[in-house]
Amino acid sequence: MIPAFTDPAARRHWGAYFAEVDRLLAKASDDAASLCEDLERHVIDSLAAQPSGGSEVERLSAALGRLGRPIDYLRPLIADHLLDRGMRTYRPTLIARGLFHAVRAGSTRAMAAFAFGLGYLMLAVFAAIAVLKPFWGEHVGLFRRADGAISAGIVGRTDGARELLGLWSIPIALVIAGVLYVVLTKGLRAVRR
Amino acid sequence: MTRKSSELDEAIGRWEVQLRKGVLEFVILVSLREREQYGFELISGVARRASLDVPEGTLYPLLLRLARDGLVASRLAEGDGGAPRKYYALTVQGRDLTDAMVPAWLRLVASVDRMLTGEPA
Repeated sequence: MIPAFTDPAARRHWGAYFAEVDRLLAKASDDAASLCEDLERHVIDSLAAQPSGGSEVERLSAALGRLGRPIDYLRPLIADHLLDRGMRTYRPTLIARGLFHAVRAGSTRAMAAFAFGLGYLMLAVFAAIAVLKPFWGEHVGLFRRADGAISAGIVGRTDGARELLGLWSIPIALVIAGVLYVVLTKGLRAVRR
Repeated sequence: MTRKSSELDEAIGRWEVQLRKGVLEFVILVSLREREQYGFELISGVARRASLDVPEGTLYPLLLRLARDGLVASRLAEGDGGAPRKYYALTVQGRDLTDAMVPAWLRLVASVDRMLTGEPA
């Protein structure tokens, strides 16, 4: 349903916009496919309703600008679909992607809250390493296993592994926790301003 | 413009965006309660009459969800230029829900107004 543009640049602009819509809707449910046609009809109506004047590209850009960026308005739909599929099939990757889109769709502030939440969780892990090391030293620290693989933090199975840092884990974890605390708190202050 | 007044304008702008997003679904239902409308007509009317200046694309995923919930139904009909248009209308369930939402909205607006004017509840 492409309008009869005389300017090839307008045709390209239309094509690029709706290619992005198609790409995003491919991640959404089957009944969302009709959405692309609805959006195309909308732009055609929007172009017809505009007062004449200006080039085709300018008029199309204005109509698409009013419609918005596809990712901004399609994200809630993609999130719903991924979460529905993830919950039905028990696939954690779909649930994680759905949650990511849901958080992004909520607001930038929600995304920032999620990121800072993860950051403070990491801080708590480093603090826990420092506290637990003296009491549970054989499972806390930096370990190299017999096959050369490295594990760090609070590690359940350490059979045959060599602890690399010893009690140095405590000050290192404390320093990292302190740096994280300062960076996260300053970042949070900047975001909330 | 001072930095303080610019920050205030930004804060008001963010608050208004959230407020408008929150009432969009209700406004769409109220608008469709009057008569069936096609997408562009619906969002243009909402933007003009309710001063809801949201991205127009927001309308379609919302209509899709309302249709999945059985509140809105659509039909294709000839448009002005010959290209078919999709017209949206409330279902019986959608009309019942909207009719029930209106008094709740009026109560909310009245109670906030009373707070603003300092009247007792």
